[in-house]
Amino acid sequence: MKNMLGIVIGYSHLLLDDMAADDPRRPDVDEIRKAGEAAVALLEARDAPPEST
Amino acid sequence: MAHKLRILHLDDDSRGTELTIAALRDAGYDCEFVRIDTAQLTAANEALAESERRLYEILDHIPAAIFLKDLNGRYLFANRRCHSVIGRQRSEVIGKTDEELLPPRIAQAHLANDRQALESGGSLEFEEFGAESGLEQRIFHSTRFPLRDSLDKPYAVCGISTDITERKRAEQAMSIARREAERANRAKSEFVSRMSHDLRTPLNAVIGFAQLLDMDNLTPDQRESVTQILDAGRHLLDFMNEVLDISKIESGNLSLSPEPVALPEIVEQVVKLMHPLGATRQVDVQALPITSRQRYVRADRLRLNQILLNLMSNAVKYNRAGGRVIVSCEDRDGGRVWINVTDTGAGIRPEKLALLFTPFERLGAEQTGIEGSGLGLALSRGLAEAMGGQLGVTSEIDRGSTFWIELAGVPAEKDITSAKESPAAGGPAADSIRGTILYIEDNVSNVRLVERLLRQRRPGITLLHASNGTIGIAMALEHKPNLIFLDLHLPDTPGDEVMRCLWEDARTRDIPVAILTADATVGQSGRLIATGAKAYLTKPLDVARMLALIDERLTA
Repeated sequence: MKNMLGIVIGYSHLLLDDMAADDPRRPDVDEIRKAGEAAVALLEARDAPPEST
Repeated sequence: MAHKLRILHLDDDSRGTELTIAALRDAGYDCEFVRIDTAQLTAANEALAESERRLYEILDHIPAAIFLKDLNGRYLFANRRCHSVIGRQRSEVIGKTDEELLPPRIAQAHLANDRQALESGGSLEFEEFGAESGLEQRIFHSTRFPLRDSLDKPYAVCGISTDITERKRAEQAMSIARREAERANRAKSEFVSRMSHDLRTPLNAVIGFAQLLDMDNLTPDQRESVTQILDAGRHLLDFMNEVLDISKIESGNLSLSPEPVALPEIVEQVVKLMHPLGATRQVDVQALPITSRQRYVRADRLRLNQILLNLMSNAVKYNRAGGRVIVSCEDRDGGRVWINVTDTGAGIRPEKLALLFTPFERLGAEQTGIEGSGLGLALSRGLAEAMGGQLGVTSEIDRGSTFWIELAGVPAEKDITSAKESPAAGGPAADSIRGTILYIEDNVSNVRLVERLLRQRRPGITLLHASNGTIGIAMALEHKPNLIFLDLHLPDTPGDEVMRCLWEDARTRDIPVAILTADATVGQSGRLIATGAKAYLTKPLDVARMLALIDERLTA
């Protein structure tokens, strides 16, 4: 799962590098990057040892 | 007439005493001679004693408590186990009642059971408490029955009691363990679905925005990046759905809609879908003409499709270049039908066949670079069984494998026309579509997606946004939009409640509502459509479908 998310985050960085600063599509790509990172954070929270109940 | 007895002869020798008795009658010696050979008597007595000793010896070794009580409840006999349970010597037990020997509560219960057994006349079974001295309370299973004399009158009650305390404890432990396991299972399912639910939101954003970008003009490099993102997002979604499905099957929460499904159509559909994949691997995919008598099976159409796609994509992936995949149907006993998917791959070793359907088990395919989650077969089998069918495999090394789905055949019905979606014939110019759409949704990211989509693709449309149901209803009344997109998972009111309000108010009844739901179960959507929804869209958003829906509704 994290592999796939890594792909998503990685390619969105690539896209951002490839787009001009004023490219109207930047916000869209940024949404993708943020979503990918949010998903990774969710998975990592799950894998972390649970707090004491 | 009284008889006097007179001993006439008494002869004592090594064999015993021989006694001759005469019975005298009044008038003289009119007698009868009776000879009693006491040796025989003694021998008989000894044999009897021997027999009793043997019997008692055996009884004393029986691990059950065995006793005899007379009609007053006094012990006539108690074997070793019995008096040991009571906690006294045998001599202290014989002749006493339970009230004198046992704690009052237990004695009462025994008394009642004895009485019941005597009254019923047959053999009765009880569960009762015993108190083995020094130990905690034990539970016994007791069989009691009356003993009858030669005149068939009951003269005693016999009881045979076995200590079942351990068995009871084991039963209790097992039921506790079972409840625990069920609870753990439920917790696991809840965890899985919560995790999937939480992951859906970012996944929807990834797929949604990637679709948007995909529709734009991109450089070759950019397009490759976008394609990669889209593929990864879709794979993730598929995987999540598989995990969720398996979890639902395991917890028994999977909802299915069985109906008669026409075999020729579904097979043809799936084969067509597989052609592109087959082409990339140089595998020929084809269906044999359906020669089975049964032409319909009872199945959930969507899920059967899913199973067939899974089997066929496996058949193509685990095949050889220049190989073939063949789909066929055959009749089986009891009105059942097999759908066979046969490949010309390397076959599967017998020892690995058993592991095939284990979740996440890829049997070494991880090393081969063939992609897969390891869940497909586990899910397919779970789905087949949930539909009342089976999934199995036969395989021959170096020749290939055949995976078969068994389902119940359905007698042929009059032509069941499946509602096929007709492709939208040349839509109106995107720019000319005007109107107002109200989007009731609490998730900001989703709103932004639709906003961007409309701004790019349908600039003539004004998008209004309400972040909860209450505001949504108010805005619908105020602005009278041409179309409402309604998310079902709102913070304040459930989506179907909002729908009801819109429907019941004459001022908003005519506004078409399309519901957006992450829950793709047909049943729920069908219900909502019956209560006024005009269409449903599932998340992640299929951008093309949404646009088609907008075009359809706003150009009416």
